[in-house]
Amino acid sequence: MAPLTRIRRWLAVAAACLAALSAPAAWPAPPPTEYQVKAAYLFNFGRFVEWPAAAYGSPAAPFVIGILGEDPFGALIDEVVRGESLNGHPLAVKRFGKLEEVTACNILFIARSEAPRLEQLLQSMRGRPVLTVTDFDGAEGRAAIIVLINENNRIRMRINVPEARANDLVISSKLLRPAELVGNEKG
Amino acid sequence: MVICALTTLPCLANNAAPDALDALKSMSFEELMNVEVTSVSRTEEALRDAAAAVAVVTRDTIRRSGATTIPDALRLVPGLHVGAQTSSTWAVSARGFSNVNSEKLLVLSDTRSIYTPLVSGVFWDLQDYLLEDLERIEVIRGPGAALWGSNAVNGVINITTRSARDTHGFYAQGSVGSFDRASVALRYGAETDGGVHYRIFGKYFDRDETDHPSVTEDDAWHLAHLGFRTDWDGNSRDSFTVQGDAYTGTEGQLVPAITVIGRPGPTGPLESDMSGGNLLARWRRTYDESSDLQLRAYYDYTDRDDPSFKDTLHTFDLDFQRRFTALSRHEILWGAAYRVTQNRNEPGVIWALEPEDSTDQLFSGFIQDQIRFSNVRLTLGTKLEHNDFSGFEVQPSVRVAWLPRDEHTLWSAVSRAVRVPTRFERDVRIDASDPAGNPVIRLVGNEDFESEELIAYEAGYRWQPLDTLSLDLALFYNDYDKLAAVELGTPFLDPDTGQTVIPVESQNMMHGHTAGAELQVEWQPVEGWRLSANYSYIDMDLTPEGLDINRNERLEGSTPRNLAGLRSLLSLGQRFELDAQLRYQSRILTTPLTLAGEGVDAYTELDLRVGWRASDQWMFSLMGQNLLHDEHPEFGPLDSRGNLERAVYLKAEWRL
Repeated sequence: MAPLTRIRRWLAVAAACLAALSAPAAWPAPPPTEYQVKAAYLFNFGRFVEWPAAAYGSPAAPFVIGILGEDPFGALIDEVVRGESLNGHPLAVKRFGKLEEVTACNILFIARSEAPRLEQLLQSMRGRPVLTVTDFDGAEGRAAIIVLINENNRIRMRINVPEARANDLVISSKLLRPAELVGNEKG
Repeated sequence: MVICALTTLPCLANNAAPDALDALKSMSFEELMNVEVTSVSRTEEALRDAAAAVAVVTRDTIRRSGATTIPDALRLVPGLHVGAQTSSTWAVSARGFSNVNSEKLLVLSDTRSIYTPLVSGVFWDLQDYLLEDLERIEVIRGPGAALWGSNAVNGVINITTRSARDTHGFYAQGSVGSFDRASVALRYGAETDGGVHYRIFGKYFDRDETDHPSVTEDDAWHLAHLGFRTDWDGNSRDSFTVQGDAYTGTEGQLVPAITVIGRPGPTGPLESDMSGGNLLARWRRTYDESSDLQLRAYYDYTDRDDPSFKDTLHTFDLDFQRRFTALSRHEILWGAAYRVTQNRNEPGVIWALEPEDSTDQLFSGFIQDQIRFSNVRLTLGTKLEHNDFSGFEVQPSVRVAWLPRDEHTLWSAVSRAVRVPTRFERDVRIDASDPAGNPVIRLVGNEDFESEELIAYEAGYRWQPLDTLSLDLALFYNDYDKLAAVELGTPFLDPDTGQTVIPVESQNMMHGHTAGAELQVEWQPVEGWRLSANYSYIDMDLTPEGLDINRNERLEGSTPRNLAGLRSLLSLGQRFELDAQLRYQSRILTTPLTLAGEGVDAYTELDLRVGWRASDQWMFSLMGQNLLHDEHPEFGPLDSRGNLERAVYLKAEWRL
């Protein structure tokens, strides 16, 4: 049973403790979410992959990160590209509902919702200067150029170099070194 | 897998500050690969698509609720009724049948069942955690028997602790307060050279008694708890977890656990001593995103020395699960499990079980197929088990979710679930009149008592019109049969004593239905402010078939028809948190055959919390509980309940 007098005593202790302590800085931030890290990957791909000049309509054309299907990033990816540019190309995000809507883009992130149509999508991107990225594996080993894999809550990369070459993309060794390489040709 | 999917549900709204994103952007690929992430997406998807009424209480919400016990942390889950009876006793129930035994609710702690076969229910007073180390609590309302098995009748609660990977460093906390008088906890976690993550912790708390003007006993409660957990990734495919706990505590009771009108019960201080421990090991092999297997074993021991009886329970459980994708559309999950419980229940002044010792086995298997057709998910599953109480039980379910558009989910389900008989119903032996008298009225176990059965019809709708706004509505109609009632058996002559025995026993002599709705709305009007509101309604209609004519009214009356809650979590900059919880419970009726005044008036209560992050190392919080009243009851008969008083506590947390 707790009479009010006792409550008052604790309030006094509380006030004393609060007054005695003060310091700046924040409490440890929560770990980032899966898609925050994946967004950072997408952003960094732009810096370590070389696109042919033909990938841009004009020298000032934006560098476009396209997202096809059910967007898992939300406002996050917009936050990532805001105010950024790559070699003079301002970064932009475009969202596409289906394949037919896909317009020029440098990176195309294919969301899980498109898994059933993955093979057809990859087929139509083949030979175009587009870096396809997924975070799932398609049927029968069909996969995008870069697959982001969540393994025990850490995101690693798997890169198919021959497929990248087929799309006229040159991937920096900085990106290849930590990645798992697949395709007939090793790096 | 649904188990995985549902047990990896989200930390909602993990809003990293913009500078956290900037930090990620400037990292090298090597660094990015080492960043650990919370798996929000998969789990939020699971939550959104689930063809079941699921709610998740995240670690952050638990922390900011100021709860110090698991039942208190469950208070604002839609559709869940939590009513404290004493310092250490609660009624926790989903969809009716409110009772301190929570008999129709299956509770799992890191997949370890904490449902006791003695009286069917959960001894909440043994379920202690360092709440800081909880990952989340998932509450599934409605049957989960097709996956989790018997007793998952009206709901399943999955309590999940954090991986040792996430709890490196020192963490210490201490609190002082008026009801939660004092608590201290210390945890240390690290990674060994061999890549094994571990943590060890110790905790002690002391809780005051409630106010109970008409009872002289004391229901104060204290408990000490040691625990550890290790997590190790043997290689890219295999991960291993070993964890364990040991605890000991003492609590007071307001009345003996077992009383019989007209016979004196135990005398002296009504203290229960409880102790126990558990050890759990799990191996998980991941082949790819949609294919894995898991082998898990645990041993659990509990000992309860109560004035009414002394009970020890050993449980060993082995469980295997396999998940894979077949024919591209089918995600198959199957599993098999074995459990053996060894129970000894020594008689007290009134209470006895016959025989004292009982070893009971449970064999079970389940299979589930989740089929995806464009935007429709069909989940078919069934559990098949054999237990020593009621024999074979089949508990199938059919669930379908339809996602006509991204932000809409419609679902529906039909399932069967059973609550199996308990040792009390099978083995009890209590004389309800003078044991030397002739005839003697005796409460006896009934070998023929069968499982209580439920067919549940459910439907729900989830709508997320904005990233920051979501709505979740669930409707149910539950059809119960063979519910327990206490009935007169056929009198017989006891050959040992020559007495005529009038047996009173549990019989399956009641049926009925419940219907209701649960609604939850979550809204984040601005960054740093999260609001959540919920309301639930239930109508119970039970029909006794035998002599136990008031049982229906007692069960119907003990369940509040309306529950509502409102929560506001407000972050003021990086350093201050201001949190409030308002909850409403409609009245609990006074029913015939019980002491006058058993009912509980409707009440509204408010909890407030102020949190202050003083530095990287220090956090302080001041919590006020039950602020709207000096004191009031929440649940239970007048002679065995205490009033919850307005309370405050101050907590300091330190981490390094």
